[in-house]
Amino acid sequence: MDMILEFSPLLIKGAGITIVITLASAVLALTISFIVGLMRCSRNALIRGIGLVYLEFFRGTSALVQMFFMFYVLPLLGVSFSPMAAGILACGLNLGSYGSEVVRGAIKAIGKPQYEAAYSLNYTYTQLYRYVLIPQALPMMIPPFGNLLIELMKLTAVTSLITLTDLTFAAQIVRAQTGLTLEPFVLILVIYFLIASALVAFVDVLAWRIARSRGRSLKLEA
Amino acid sequence: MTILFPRILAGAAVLALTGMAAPAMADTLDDLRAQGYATVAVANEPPYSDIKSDGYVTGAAPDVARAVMAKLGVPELRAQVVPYGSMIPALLARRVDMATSGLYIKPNRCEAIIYSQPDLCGAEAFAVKVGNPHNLTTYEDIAANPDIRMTTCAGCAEELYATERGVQTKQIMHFTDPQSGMKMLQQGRVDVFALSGLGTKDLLDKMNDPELELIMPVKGVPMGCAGAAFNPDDTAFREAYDAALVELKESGEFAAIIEPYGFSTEATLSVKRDDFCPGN
Repeated sequence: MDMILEFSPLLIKGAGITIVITLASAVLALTISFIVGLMRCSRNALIRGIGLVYLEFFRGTSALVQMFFMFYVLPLLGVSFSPMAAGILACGLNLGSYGSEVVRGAIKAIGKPQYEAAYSLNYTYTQLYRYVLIPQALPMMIPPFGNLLIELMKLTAVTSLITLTDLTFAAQIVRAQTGLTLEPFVLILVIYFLIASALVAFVDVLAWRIARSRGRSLKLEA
Repeated sequence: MTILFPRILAGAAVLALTGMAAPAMADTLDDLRAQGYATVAVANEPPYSDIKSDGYVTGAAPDVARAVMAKLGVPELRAQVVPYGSMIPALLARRVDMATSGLYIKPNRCEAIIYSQPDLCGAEAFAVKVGNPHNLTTYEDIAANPDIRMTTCAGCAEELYATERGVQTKQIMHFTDPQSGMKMLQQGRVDVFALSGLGTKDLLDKMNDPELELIMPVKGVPMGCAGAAFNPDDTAFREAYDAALVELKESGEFAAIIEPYGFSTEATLSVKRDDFCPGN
């Protein structure tokens, strides 16, 4: 245990990097989720098609391979991202594809009468989304987005393979330096769990606030 | 428009070509001197490389590189830990300026990258269960019994030694990092762990498991010699590095750096790069 304590600065730094990658790629993933999710709802077949290609490409190929591609192949074509940027991009682009289905699913879940009501009030297409569909879809998106946020946090562990000194990477260094395996892995399991718990708490607070501002429960049957 | 268009294309092509040629023409060493540091790939394998609890990278290979680069006027070394399998891609993608970490000089690697003169040489080793129940001392012993399972790293020299000596691919299980390989041995998933001698010894010393035993040297395989590795376009940088490395070896400073880590200066001085990769 003394040896683990000796390496705690490295582990703390690693946890910090894991958190930074998680938050930055979450912002990116959320933005992409809305852009691609709304593209997939478009009336224009071309825009829908572009959204579909994005979704299928980033959802259908391995995040690890995407990361390696960005880190080791793109520089050969003259595009070089820093390890941090490559990690954030790969995690964000990948999870953004899953998120777009959350956005699309929630919007499609809004009943036909809502569309009809909007049309009968002579709402434009933009107004329909802005004032009718998105506000009602948003509370439905929160729980699946919470799931994806945790998934994203765990995905950041693979960035240790592109030289980022995240939590997993720090644990590997401790293993090489001390020959211990049980202790560093148990320790980072606990740290990952604590970070995930903090993210869950954040999502719960967000859900509660949205529910309160709407004056109703998030439970759909209520 | 039809006449103008090819011209624009040709212009763009010339621009692209000159733009692409520029980085290759620039002298990498001059760039490193100007920025004051070099980015170096190291593996996470003591005693070749050693990462202290504050993140400082030391170990035999980085320490030699640090001394050489200091002679060349680059005061700082920024180390990036890169797995062995990713070192060549990292060099080719210019993720790092050089790799220094016990990457053995091997003909198949020389096709992709260029090496400095050898800086660290060592014997090969096995780790086995105590008492060596299957009596394994050479790769031929492993090949002779198809039920034996061995572990080593993917793409490592040890894998090549094994397959060249008749070990079947299905007998080899790759580990992602040496610690995991040792765990596989402890848990009985494999019968023998193969890696560089000093790397294996360091790991066994740290694990301090009375159930495991070191077999060193493994007979019938050449001594593994590593050098600093460079992008194939950086020949000028490599020549300068070699010149400074010779100075270091002659002044005795070299021995003072590597011997505390257990490496033999004599073994290193007895070989040349051309012994492994003529014309690299």
